[in-house]
Amino acid sequence: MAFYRGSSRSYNKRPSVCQFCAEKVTQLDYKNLDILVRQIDPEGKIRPRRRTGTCARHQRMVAVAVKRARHMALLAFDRGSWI
Amino acid sequence: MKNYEIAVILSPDLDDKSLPDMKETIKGWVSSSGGEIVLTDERGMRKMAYHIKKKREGYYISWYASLSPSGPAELEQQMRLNENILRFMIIKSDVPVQVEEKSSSIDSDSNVAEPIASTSTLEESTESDEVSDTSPDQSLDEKHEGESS
Repeated sequence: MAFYRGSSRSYNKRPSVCQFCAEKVTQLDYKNLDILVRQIDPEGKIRPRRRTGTCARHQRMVAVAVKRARHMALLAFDRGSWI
Repeated sequence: MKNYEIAVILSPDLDDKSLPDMKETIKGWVSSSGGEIVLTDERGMRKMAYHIKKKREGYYISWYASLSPSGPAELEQQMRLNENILRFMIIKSDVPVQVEEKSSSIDSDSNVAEPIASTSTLEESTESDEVSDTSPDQSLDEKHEGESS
């Protein structure tokens, strides 16, 4: 909503470097819940790049891994009792 | 022959006798379709994030195997018919360097050819029942949950 633009709406600054690029990640396993839990919000949604600062390539890997983890009931699809 | 990961959630109602049988059955399917199991990753009983077939828990196990092009389809047919398999997933996947070092696979390099050959025969010895691998990756450890409220 353009109404709010430039007003007191708060925002979090996006990290300047992709956290996965910093670690030189080449593959992301869906069983690696320590990492995946940080990529979803309390609703169970995948957190957007604008908040996490993840680069496009790694965001795709995150998306695939989270969806696989959901299929195998490691993560919930919604605001569930994940972990 | 491509490398796959065959991940399975087995029913928690299987007892000590039928559980090994079930595993053997699945391994039999793999080998009968011309596949070869390279590595077993057994996570054991675990609470699921949501109920499947009214079950709260499931027995997690996955095999890394090389399958012929028709292998995944055949496996899928068999698995769909079995009631003891709550959920399964067959994905293309390279074999991890070592199951114990799964947490450090975050910075794994992709040249895994040599370690596989050495660990290929030990299928039973991979008993990693710690489901959540805990190894701190320093720069990844900063929690971002706080921002997302």
